[in-house]
Amino acid sequence: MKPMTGFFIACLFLLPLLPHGQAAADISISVTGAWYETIDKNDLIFGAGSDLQSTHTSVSGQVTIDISGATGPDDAWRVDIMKIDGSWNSLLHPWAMRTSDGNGGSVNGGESFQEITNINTSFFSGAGDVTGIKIQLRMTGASIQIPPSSCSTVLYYTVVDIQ
Amino acid sequence: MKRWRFFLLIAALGFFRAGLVSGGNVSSHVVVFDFQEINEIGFTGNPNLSISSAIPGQQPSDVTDASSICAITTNGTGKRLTASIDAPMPADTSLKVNVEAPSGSGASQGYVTLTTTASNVVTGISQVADSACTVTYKLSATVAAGVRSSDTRTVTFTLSD
Repeated sequence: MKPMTGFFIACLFLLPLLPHGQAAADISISVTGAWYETIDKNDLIFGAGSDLQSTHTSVSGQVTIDISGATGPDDAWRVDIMKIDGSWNSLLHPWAMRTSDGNGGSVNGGESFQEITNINTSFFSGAGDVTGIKIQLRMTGASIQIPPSSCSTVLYYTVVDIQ
Repeated sequence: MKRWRFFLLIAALGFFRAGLVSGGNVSSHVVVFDFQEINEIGFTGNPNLSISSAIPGQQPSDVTDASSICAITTNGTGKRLTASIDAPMPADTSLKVNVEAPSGSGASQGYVTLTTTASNVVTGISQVADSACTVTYKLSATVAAGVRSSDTRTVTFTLSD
């Protein structure tokens, strides 16, 4: 291998190690909370003979999000959301909605339920440091077609510096 | 060759860093839905059976009552519905029950004679919710039963594995 070719390939491999934008490395997101729900006979619509209630909604502030490390009140960012399934059932569909602006900075969007998929999708945006952004979660698709089991997925929130 | 292994290792580390677990710009939480086993049945109706006629030369005519309804919900598989009565029937009489299988799931065993021992009436019930399964009772007697005063039996249904 020629020395220059080796150097070029080395640079290609080392690219992912570089910071992903100067400001992006500074803004960070912290999520507090989780959602555990037990589905049993009390969730049947009309008792024996009926199916389970399809939709289950968490409390308003089931999860809170803090954004910190912005360079100032005008340092804009966006929060993306996605899920990575554990022992999930494809009949279940999780949704998320922002229910408060939190404190400090500014926040926009995300005020209606949007489905969370396995692809990172824009959730809401804002600027500056913000604490206590409340998130409400919803699950649709519950049914007796889902066998007795524990279904779990992990929701990932990514803050992206958009300047 | 060793140099290539080194580059590959660096690249793997780099891509790992660039993934979801990188730095402080990603945070996560878990969502868990725990689906408990659900096996619910309910019965409505107050069947009343009275034998009072016969075709000349034959045993008394059977009587049936199809006024009862079974409602069933299960998220399990391969369940069975059994039935029994609280006390034996008088001599020369029999009480049978026929429970319609839930729509799209299970197999009715047709008319099953009720005894104090649980008997299968519907088998192979899986992940179904049906609130309108017809339950039909049939009372039979021979002339040897004689004339009897009114009596009652409690029928117990159980949904099990």
